[in-house]
Amino acid sequence: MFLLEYYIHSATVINDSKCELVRIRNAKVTSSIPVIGTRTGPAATSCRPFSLSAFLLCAAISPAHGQQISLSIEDIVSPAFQVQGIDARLDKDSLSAHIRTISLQGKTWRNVRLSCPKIRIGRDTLACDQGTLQEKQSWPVRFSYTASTKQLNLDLLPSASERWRFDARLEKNWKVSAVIENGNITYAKSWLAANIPAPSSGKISGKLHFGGSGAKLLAADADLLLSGLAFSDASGLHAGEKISGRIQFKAHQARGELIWQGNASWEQGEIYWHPIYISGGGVKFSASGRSSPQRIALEQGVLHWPAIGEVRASAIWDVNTHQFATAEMEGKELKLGALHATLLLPFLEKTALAKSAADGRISFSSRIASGEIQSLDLSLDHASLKDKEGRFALREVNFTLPWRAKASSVADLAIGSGQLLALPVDGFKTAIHLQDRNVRIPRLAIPILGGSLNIENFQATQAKEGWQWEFEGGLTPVSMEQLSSALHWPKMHGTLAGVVPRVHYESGRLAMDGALLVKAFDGTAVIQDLVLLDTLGHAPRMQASIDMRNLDLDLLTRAFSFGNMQGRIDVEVKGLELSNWKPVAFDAAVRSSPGDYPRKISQRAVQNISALGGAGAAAAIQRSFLGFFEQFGYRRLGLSCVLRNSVCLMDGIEPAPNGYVIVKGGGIPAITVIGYNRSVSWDELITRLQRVTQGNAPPIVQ
Amino acid sequence: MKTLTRLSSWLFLFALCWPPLALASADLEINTPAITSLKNGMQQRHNELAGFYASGAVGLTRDGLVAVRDPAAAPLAQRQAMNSLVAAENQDRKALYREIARANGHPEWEDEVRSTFAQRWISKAAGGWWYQNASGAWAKK
Repeated sequence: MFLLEYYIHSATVINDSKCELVRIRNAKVTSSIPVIGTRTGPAATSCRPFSLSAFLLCAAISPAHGQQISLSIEDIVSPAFQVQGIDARLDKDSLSAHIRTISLQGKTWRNVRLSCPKIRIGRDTLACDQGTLQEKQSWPVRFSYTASTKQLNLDLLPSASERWRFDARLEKNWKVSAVIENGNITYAKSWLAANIPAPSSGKISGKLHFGGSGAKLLAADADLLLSGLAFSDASGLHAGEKISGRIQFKAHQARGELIWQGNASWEQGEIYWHPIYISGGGVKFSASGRSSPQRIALEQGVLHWPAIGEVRASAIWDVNTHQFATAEMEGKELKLGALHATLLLPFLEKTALAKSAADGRISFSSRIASGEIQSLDLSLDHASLKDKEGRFALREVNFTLPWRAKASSVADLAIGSGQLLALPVDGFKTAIHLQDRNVRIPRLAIPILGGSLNIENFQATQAKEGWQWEFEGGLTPVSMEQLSSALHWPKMHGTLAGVVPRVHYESGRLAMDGALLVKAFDGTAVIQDLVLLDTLGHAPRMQASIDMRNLDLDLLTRAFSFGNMQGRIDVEVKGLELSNWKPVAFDAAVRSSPGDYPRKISQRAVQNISALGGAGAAAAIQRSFLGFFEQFGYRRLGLSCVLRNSVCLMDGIEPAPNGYVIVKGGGIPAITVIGYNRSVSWDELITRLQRVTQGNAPPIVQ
Repeated sequence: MKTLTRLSSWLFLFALCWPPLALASADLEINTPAITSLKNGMQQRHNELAGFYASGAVGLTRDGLVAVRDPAAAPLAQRQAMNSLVAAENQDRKALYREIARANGHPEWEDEVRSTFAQRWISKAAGGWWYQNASGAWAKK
């Protein structure tokens, strides 16, 4: 037996016209028979194309059949890949190879083994029909290599139904094609960056063709079908399940650019991309463009989404600055209902629109230059927006917005009709002035119940802490009959009007400068020091002071079925504090207004007033002879309540034995009502008020 | 499932009403309209969250809040709702601790109130629910 050793201590092989380096260190071929020649010592450096496969083949076809040959290479290094620790052994017709590590595109495979119990060696070819490729998994493999044509065929058969077939022509002008049948898509996991959701299941089938010269890609063609794809990131905020679809892609080089065109269709499945959830599929996307090392140009992109409509886009991405040099996007006559429910609503969760539904059509077009939005044209056509809980509704909304960066623009809004709480709102139009992130509405008049809610000098600005806005305005006389009817309140008479001073909102705090003047019940109400906190939260808080003058008792008591009273009262509420719209503290007092006016109180009103002071007072009156009269005269009346810790500390207009005077008698017949309970639970007081104002039940007089 | 939901609702109510242990000086049962509103909102939401607690998708944190622990335990179609519920629940829990401290006349007690409630939620959690132990690691009850 002879022993031959073929060494290359260090070979530097320079590949193709770019002369990219491939370095081979410490390669050694050992054969048990004489071979054509030997060579030891440092290898020369050349620009000649080098093929490791050819090297292997030379070694492999040298021995006479039945002999041994082994190959070891310490490492092969190129800019594209690294292979370390190659040990191959051909024993008779059995091949076994072990590679310690293969690194490619930042991924590393360790201890890769290839074995073939029966290798066929021809003069020009090396082939294996029943090999095994093993890394973490073991796959049956078939391969063949033809040295003269540098053609490599590799067939991986992970399972009976799964097949990955690669055909490669490894010349300077190379070609690689692959046919995949039911390929397990989870193999792609190791190729993806850590921040990209990884596939956990799915199959891929189709064909891929790539061609190039050296390191340059000249042509690509892919047609792939995906089925049962599931993916997720670690947080579960970006995930998809049961996805099927098709991806087609073609590209070729022309004048230094890669011209490409692709189609993707999503046929079924569901995707959650926080906070958006989409299911059902039916979405298609097609794109074409060209790429160069400096820029990627999307010449035409079309997203076709049957539920919403079609969106077209074009863009140029600057690779150096990592921003859009230019971009344009346009959608015409999109279906607002599906767009709102699918794409907008998830972002409106903490707003008043959280439970809203929309309908109608929306069109838009926008333009970006140098990474910044330059224009946005938006229009709503016959749209509607309503709250699912019935708090508001806007119908027949037509809106046009011609927004331009660094310039002022005016949007036109027209509402056909609407509803605010239970109040119907008639149609109105307004102009909205926009400049950068500022919104201004000089005047907005909303017709409501025969009157008008006027908003003037509305200004909104987007700041770091969120939106800030302010306005002033007023309410021209609104019919109280219509208002009370619309709100399902007791029927009220007269009109309601008011002047709203400057109201401003910032960081969840709504406050009013000056006093809100309201005219109601033929008197005036002035609301001051109004502050609203956490308005849309679960624990909204309100603080205010209210001063009402000369309210007509006749209008007031008729509205609340309290029993008729005639006269005028002043109501003062200081330090009012509401939490979740329920009072938690105030100092309130009701007093007869100063002045000369008729003062009458009905039997039933007397009873109701006395009932508020406690059962004792009511019973005392009911037992007296005064029960025979329908109406009484009075000189003045008054009741106060200081609410603290859910307890109302009550007082009247002056002290009385064991109590306090609520109604001081005057005229004929006159009556004086005395209250005895000074401390009443607020809940109990509310229950009493509800009891006396409910049902218009006739009073029982004894 | 209904029985489990009902049982967990009772446990939730019990947890809300359980006498305070750690913060003896503060009245954790104090009631204001805001606290009542918050508790009502949380109780209604609890029925929607109970399934996520049981599946392990959502767990109780050691700082008195809730957190998405294992999103994959929730069907994809429910993840949006789950994240919304968790966000709303945490907003209410923070408001509840703030309101209780404020109603006690000591806004500065908020952290202590939160800490006491954190222990309360965990000790009254149903079997199979997940919670964060003192070191912050998830544990199954």
